[in-house]
Amino acid sequence: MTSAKRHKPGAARWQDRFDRMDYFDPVPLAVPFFVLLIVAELIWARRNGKLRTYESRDTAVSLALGLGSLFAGALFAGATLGMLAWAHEIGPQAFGWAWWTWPLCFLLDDLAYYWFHRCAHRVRWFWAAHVNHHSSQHYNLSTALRQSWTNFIALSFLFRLPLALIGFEPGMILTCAAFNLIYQFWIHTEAIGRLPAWFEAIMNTPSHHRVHHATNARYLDRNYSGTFIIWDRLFGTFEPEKSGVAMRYGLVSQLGSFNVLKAAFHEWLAIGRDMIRAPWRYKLSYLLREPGWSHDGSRETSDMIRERTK
Amino acid sequence: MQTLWLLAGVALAVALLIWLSMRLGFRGVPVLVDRDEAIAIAAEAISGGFGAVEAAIDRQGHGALLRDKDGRLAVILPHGAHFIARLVDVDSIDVGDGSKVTVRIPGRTSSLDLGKEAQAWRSALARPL
Repeated sequence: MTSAKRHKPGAARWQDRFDRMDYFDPVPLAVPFFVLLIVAELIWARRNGKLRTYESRDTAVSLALGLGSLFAGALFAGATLGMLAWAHEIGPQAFGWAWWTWPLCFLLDDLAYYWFHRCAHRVRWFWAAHVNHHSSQHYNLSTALRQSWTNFIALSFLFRLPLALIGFEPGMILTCAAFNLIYQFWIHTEAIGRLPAWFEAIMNTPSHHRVHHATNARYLDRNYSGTFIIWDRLFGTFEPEKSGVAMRYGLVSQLGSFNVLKAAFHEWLAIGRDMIRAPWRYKLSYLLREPGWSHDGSRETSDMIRERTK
Repeated sequence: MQTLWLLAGVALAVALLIWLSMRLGFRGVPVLVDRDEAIAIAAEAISGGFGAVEAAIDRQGHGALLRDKDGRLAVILPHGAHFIARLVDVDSIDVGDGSKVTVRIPGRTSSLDLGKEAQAWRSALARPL
């Protein structure tokens, strides 16, 4: 009784909410469309003589990482829901499931995704979980499925906690996040050029996201948005795709391996090695500073590369 | 049980897509067009940049060995349909009596056929920097 009084009127204890919690996950329903669209892109690439669009071993790694991420997602779904339910419970209000909360939740979830994604490129700890999505030198629809196995371990869910804290239902947040993920699938392609200007102005598109995956100096650490490109325009990280510039995809220092485990964990191991070797005062910097940072200046960050190639 | 069926279905789809990508011939080895391409790849792909002053291309275009003005060595090797570039030290390169050069980078040993240039590189690598 005492414990119930600490909570919002009408709200169950967060553990109870967690027990009853369910959410609509659209990803399983989208999988057949993912498969069909990859088949279509393979045929498009073959018919148009674009034989470097795909590489069968690279595709195998991408799809294996995608499959593994489903397992990892299932493994940590309960814990993620639990954290969101806890944040929702301690928050000052609950919006419930009113219709207007859905578009608002989707919009704010996309904003949360922008900041997660930006940190995933600017903080090595988060980069270690995200790097495998960028480790392919190819840019095709299978690359979209090259998802992280260690997002939960990297505490990426922290970026969505504010949504639950301000009152959005945890199930709604996860459903919106899933739709955001599905949206981002189709933009991983070279088969689509530029779309109408109004669409390119508001939405993330294949053109914008090619920039994000490119390793060309001017494109490094740009276009972090998930669904709406407005966040990059707003926060000064937008870069348009330039016509006539050949895109190079992947990592600044290419992985050079088709080993799935290496793709999934190589940056975590590299962080461990760097922290062991570094002098004490620099150890945490190897975890928390931007990828490419080194205490002796022997490596390059994306800002340094951009500066060098100006 | 439903989740297991879903995962089994996804695994089957994954196998199908990999088979299809192989069946459609997406397993080519990239070919370097010329020295300039090798020099450009090294310049872009090596941390801190790499200004090659010498470059020898594999006879099939399947890689290259490069050196910059400071005597640093770099190798370009095929990886799937693209290339990777790595800095290497002299001890990682073996030049035999013929045209073949063996290069070792972490996790991989590769052979380049540098043709007549191999022996010139052998002499150059033997010289102290």
